[in-house]
Amino acid sequence: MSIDPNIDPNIGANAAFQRHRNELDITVGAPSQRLSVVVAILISGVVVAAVFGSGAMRDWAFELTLDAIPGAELVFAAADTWHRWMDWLGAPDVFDAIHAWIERWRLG
Amino acid sequence: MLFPTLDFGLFFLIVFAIAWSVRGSPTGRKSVLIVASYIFYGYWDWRFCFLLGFSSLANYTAGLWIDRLGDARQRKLVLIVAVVINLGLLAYFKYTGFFIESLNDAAYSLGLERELPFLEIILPVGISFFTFQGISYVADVYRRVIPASRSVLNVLLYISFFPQLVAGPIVRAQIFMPQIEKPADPNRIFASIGITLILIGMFKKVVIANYLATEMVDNVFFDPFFYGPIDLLLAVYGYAIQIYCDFSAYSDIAIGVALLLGFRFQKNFNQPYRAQSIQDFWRRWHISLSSWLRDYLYIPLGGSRAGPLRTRLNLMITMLLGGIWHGAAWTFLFWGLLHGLGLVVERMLGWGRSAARRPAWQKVLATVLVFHFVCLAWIFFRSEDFATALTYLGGFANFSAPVEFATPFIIGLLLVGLSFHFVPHDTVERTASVVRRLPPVAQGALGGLLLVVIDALGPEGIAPFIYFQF
Repeated sequence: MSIDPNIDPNIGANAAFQRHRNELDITVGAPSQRLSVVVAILISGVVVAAVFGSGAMRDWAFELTLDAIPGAELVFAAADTWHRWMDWLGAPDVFDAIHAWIERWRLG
Repeated sequence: MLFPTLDFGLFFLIVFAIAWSVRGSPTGRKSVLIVASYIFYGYWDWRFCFLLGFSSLANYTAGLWIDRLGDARQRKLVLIVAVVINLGLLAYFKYTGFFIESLNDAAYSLGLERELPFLEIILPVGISFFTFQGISYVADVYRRVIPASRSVLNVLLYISFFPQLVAGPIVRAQIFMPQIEKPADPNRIFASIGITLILIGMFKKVVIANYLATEMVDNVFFDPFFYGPIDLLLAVYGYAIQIYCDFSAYSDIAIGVALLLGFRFQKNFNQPYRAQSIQDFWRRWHISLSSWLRDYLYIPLGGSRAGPLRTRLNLMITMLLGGIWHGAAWTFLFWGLLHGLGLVVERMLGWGRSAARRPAWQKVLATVLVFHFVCLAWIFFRSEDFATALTYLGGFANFSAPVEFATPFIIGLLLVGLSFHFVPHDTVERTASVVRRLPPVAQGALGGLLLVVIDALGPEGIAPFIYFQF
């Protein structure tokens, strides 16, 4: 079905919609791709996501477990440090101290 | 079936492959997409597929009927019948329980003992969205903006197309119908933008919205009594960012998925928290709903053409109905009332019109004020009931409570969520253009890797999108 050329779309309540129609189209001036390119993108995306996203696939792809990677201890130590740092970032102690100080100041 | 899940990923890949393989046959492609959409919808509760089908067929029939009638009064009568059917379905499934409960409360307060029986009606996912699409279709046929569709497949697909079916955007027939009728063009797929939108949407939902909900917002809104002003302030900022990242993420993914299937939807969010007036906010937030309310409610009521008093009344009616559209609760109605009052006051003071001519500091101040007004309204929107909302507001005077959520992690999440509003408005398009220069395999590998990283960054499990309940 196509819009009837004899019908004026700029009537009544539709006028406001028509005025802003192009502003809201994210594809105006955007580059497009061919289907074969899109298929290549999706296949490579699926393969990478499957290999890195699934433990079983990762082990199968590399035929080794993470423990067997040379220097795995270093990797795990780095991961531990990262998690400790995240815990610290998530801890309210520092801000509780600041709040307590403000309260002491407020209450004299 | 939630977007950021493996189930949906596999479902989409199958639909993508089949829909593009039958691209030579518009009827075949439409049929594939209709079947896929009904499978997608039936994944929640297959019984509601009949409701979806009934709604589509009723609007299809009404459209044809209006198109055939020459007499203006008869056309209007059919339009009214169609709107009543659409709103009747919505009212039954969404508001029956609310009306019975409200009537019982009113009877109890008048000292009447007798209670109406409580009906437990399951709310079909997305009913508010597909009902509004149905109304816009028959109203546009009535206004002769579009001709009625002769093909039932067109209307079935328009109402049920799975990317936008359960949480919008509310797509107009005049945008969607011409795209269905044309054969899909395999040389013109906006894949880079689509994939960029999907990844941005996944990040917003899986990382920011989920963390803010689970780490802070849900706890504080569950019982705000125990929290002090800093936590309450952070939680309402958090909810403002959460609902934006949740809902705009759904829209981003829906638009991206539709683009990969060869369909274009319009933008649904345009950096809403940088709005300088309430009117500006509604031009940027849930654009498909606000423009629907403008075109199918506010303007038919008379808009701003019937004098200042009538304009204010029209604004209030529109926003109150917009509020109750979100959910069957007094808190949503009050949320709509607050926004309606905001629009009326703004119009009376002429703030909206003078926005562009203001000096820079006034623009910044206006943005901050509008954001805080919107946050105030979010408290009522998010709270379980009025009592909780009032406890929340009362908590701003509770200085004795310790601060729990003012952590770098939470503040970091808020800043990242807010940063989406202050990057150039065409960031997605620019990012897509840069990514597109890479070889296709590298583009896909980058996308796949980012998907894994986003999944790893987010908390365990995926909460349903907030707008599913509407």
